[in-house]
Amino acid sequence: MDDNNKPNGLKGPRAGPMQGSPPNKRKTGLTREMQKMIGTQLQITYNEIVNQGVPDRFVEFLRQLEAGNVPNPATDDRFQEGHEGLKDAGNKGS
Amino acid sequence: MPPNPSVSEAMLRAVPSLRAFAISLCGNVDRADDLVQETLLRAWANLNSFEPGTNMSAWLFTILRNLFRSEYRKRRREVPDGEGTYAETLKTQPEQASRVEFEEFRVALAKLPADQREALVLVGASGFSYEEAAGICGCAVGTIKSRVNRARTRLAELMSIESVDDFGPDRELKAVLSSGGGSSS
Repeated sequence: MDDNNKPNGLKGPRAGPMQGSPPNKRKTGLTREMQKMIGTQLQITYNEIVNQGVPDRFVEFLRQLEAGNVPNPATDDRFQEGHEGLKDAGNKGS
Repeated sequence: MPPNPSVSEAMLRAVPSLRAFAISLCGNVDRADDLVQETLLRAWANLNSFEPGTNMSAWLFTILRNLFRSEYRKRRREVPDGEGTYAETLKTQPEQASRVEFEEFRVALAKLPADQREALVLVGASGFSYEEAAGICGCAVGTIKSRVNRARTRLAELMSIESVDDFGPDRELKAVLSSGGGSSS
């Protein structure tokens, strides 16, 4: 609600903070520059995690999988409830 | 299941972005890592349904997303809503960037409706096409586009952006970008 009352909408690029105009950002959408800024922040946030690499637990876990030391989702109680999770992915394991 | 080194290597390569996606979904690193591990397990147990030559990363993202959705449906009443938790999760900040700006961005991201956030992350950060994102989310391409647009608009509103300058000095972002922090994966 209150965002409709803001004096400065998402106007043209480099619109100064003092240049008030009717709020019309919902119709005009975001400026290209604004989209780029949001995209940049998003990528930095995301890559911060990506750049942590692969935690050891996953290296070890895949080693276990390869070795055949695998809890079986079909028999392990922990995985019964979430079993529907695979249906949408087209995976119906035996 | 015959061990296949190339498959497990492909899975390992996908882990960093799976984690980033999972954290954006559930806002908690420990839960996200459990989600990734369960994803790997299910993928491994269902390798016969993976078509060689297709995008393994997209396949894993699909499994993770569906696992999260089914878990979320079960837990939504016992888990506090995501506001702020994503931001709290990520205490480590890139030195190059303004901490306040990123904190603000993360809080805003966590406040997005889940379907908008996942669409934005898949397309804007994970590097999937609209078509791939639609496949992962099990919806139409147009729906993904619409969610991404609404997510961007909502983010801007949440951050009370009144001018581009509110994002902080350009030089800071440029410094981050030139250091490689902004490259898409």
